[in-house]
Amino acid sequence: MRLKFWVSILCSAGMGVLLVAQQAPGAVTGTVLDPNDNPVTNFAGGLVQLTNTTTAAVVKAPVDEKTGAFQLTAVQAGTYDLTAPFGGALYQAYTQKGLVVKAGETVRMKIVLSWGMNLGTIGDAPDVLIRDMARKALSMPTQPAPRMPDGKPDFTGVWVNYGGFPGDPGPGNRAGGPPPPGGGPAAGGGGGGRGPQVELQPWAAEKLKQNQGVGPTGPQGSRICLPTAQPGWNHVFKFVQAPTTLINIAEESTPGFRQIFLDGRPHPENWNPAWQGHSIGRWEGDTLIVDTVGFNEQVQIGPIHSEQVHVVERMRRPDMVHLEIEITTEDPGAWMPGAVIKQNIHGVLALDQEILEFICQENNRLPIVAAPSTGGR
Amino acid sequence: MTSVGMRVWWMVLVLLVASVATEAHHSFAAEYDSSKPVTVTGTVTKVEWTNPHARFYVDTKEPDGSISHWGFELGSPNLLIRYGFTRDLLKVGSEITVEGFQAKDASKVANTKTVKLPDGKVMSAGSSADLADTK
Repeated sequence: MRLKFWVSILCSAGMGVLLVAQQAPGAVTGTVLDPNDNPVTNFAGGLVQLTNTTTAAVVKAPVDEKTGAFQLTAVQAGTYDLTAPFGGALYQAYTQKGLVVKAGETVRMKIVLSWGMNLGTIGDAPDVLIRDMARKALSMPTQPAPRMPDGKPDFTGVWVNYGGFPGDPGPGNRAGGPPPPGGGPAAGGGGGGRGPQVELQPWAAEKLKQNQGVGPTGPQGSRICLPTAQPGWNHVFKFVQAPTTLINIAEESTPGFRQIFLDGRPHPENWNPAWQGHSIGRWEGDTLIVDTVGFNEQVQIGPIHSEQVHVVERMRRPDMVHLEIEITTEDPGAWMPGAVIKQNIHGVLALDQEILEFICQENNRLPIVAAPSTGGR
Repeated sequence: MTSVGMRVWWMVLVLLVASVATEAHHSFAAEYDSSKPVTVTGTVTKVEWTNPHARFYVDTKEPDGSISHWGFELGSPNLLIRYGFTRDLLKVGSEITVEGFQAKDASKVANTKTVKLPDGKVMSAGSSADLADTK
């Protein structure tokens, strides 16, 4: 009897051990590659995900931005569907069904993504373009920013708009969210997510409702090559700094330049409202504070604005290759008190790049659309 | 605090200025259908290497022998050139294969995804190779 007791105990223990061994987790590791066999690097937010086909349990892991490597550990033995949802415009989301993970074993694999990015939408979400343009500068050792003869920072250079960073106000500049599969504007910037929400004074809200999307100005102005409020924080832009004037040149922009006066002059008393307003800059230490007023009502700023709209840009060049601009916009004429729109621009020196000519009107085919604009712009 | 003041405090929204877009920007989603991929093989009949969007046109023979005329949209030449897609690569008269997404109105217009050139090279916008210098 005692023997039977001990035998049964031992058998149970043995079964327990066997069960534990069968449940020892496996792992899936590997590298994500692009169609040219290069590891996918510098892609923020890439991840690999397993979904158990029986239990629907999910295991996910991020893809290392530097190496393209991923490690899914603590994966219970079973069969999984694997997805690498890298976000539509650049790569197609990768899926693989029926991946078998055995207890205690590691599956090593290469995930080769397919191109998702259209040649036709490279202006919409040019993540690779931006990161490639910035790569050389970012790989250099840190150097101090150059200075003008008077000791002030020199912003001269060709810069690439490096996109949104975590902690930026709003959903982010360009990298705010993945575009839909097959291409399209990125959420939160770059054409999608137009018309940021800001509390409007009642008269402005009413006017917005009446005017929504109709006519050649406002949200539709860029469709017929009219200027935007601040020249292209888009892909590449250039600063040329002289002691009295800072010139901002932008590609894919009309008229393609903006003047920021550094000679201490005030905003003019007699002024015709302008698409880009009138900009003056003054120094606070190493920060250039650019104050712009005098916008017309036709350019797009927020959902709707008045001629009292006021933009302040705080510009710094903390080291040779970085440019930081914090933009704050308010409008006592059309927005409620305290309503502001904030945006951060992170520039990186675009070594080996130049501003190219862009004549928008030469073959523009876009008609004015009469329908109200929706979020899909 | 007054009710207006309270409303202001509740309603102050700190948000992103609509990121300044490419001039003549329009949304892919407004004009093209990502669920309608097309692949067209045919002969290049015309190339417009212009801003704000380059375009090219392809004639393809249908199974019934008729000829279809397709129009394709690309990004701006300034961006294309950075991806190594120079204007000499699309030659009138050459045979190419284009992958794209068809216009929503089902016309023979598409937004270009990739272009396979006569020598087999596939042009796309996702190359991680070094960008072409434009300096």
